[in-house]
Amino acid sequence: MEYHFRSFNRRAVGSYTFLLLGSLLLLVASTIMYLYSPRFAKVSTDTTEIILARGGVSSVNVTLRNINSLDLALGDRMSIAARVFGEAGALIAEGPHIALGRLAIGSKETYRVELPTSVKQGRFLLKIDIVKEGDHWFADAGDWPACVIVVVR
Amino acid sequence: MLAELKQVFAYRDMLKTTVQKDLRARYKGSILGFLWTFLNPLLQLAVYNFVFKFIMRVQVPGYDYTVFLFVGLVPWMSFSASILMSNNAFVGNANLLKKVYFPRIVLPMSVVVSNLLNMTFAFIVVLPVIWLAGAPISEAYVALPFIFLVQALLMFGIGLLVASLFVFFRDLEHLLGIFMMIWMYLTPILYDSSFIKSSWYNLFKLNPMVPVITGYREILLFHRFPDITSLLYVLAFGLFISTVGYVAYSTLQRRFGEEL
Repeated sequence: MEYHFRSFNRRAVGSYTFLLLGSLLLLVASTIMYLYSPRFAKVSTDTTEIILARGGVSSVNVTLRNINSLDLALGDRMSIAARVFGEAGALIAEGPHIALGRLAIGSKETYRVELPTSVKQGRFLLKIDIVKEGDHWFADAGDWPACVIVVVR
Repeated sequence: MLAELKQVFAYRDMLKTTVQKDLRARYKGSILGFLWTFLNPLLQLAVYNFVFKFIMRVQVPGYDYTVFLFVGLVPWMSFSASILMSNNAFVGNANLLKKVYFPRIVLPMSVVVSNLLNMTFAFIVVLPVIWLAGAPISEAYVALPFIFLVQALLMFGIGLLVASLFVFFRDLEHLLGIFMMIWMYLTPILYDSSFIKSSWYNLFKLNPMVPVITGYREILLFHRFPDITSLLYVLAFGLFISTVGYVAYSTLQRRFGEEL
């Protein structure tokens, strides 16, 4: 082996180093793009603040746009739901889950998400997010949920 | 590298002959002969299907598990066989290497081509099964050649690396069997990617066979185009591993004669 490396052409070593570094750079760039591409969808609401009477039922219109490079299929077991957090950031209540249907790349769909009724008087933060049933909320995996301030009088 | 490719092109008839020889030799002497190309994946499918569908009761929401398994198993079998067979590409042809001059890279290349041809034949069986199961032909089929290409590149890169190293490290044969078994279980062939917990998901995604298997399923079962960023990642991985394989081959090939 030693003999072999000694006799190895310097020019060849240079070109191999160039090839290796070039392909490694390409791999690193594509890995970053692959891992940090938008996860799934953009969630937006038609309002930023809701004022409610205590015990009152309300809902928010939520628009979901598929910004991923994949269609969403029924088999993906995704739902959309609202969670209410207190001012200190603690989870207070969770609304009903609405199962998502098929959503093609780039298309959008509007859902009516009901607010949890168990919320008492005060000021809260409503986070509307996608949930992969039995696994995780997308916000917990780094996505941005739609946020609405809820004031219950 | 370009000079090597030019040489391979000049020796394309040899590549064709080696592939033909490999396809003929694979089932030479067996009664069923070429039929084993179709029977082999069908029998493996039957075994996995029995264990995972009927004993372990694995289910994939919304899809028939048998078809789901079949679409993942066929590309994996071709990939796995290609790497395991590439192992012996130089050592198994030692006599030829010592006597005749030809670009040696043709040997691992022929292993890849023959396994890709085998996969194509197996898909001839798979496709009618998929259509009968209710998944029609869609426009997403146009993406099939791209997945095919990235898989071929991956197979070639790993195969070339393994074939070159095996000349010097014969223990590789035993290690490779275990490695390929672990790799298979880390790839979503017997299960769906959605079974992986989110905390492990990014690590799981780095396996280059994940986008390949998922891509075939996206096209053939779910009638949608595969995720392009994931396939670009596999393409980049394939280019990188092919470069590593080529550098290893170019560095070590001068001593093949002594070792063989």
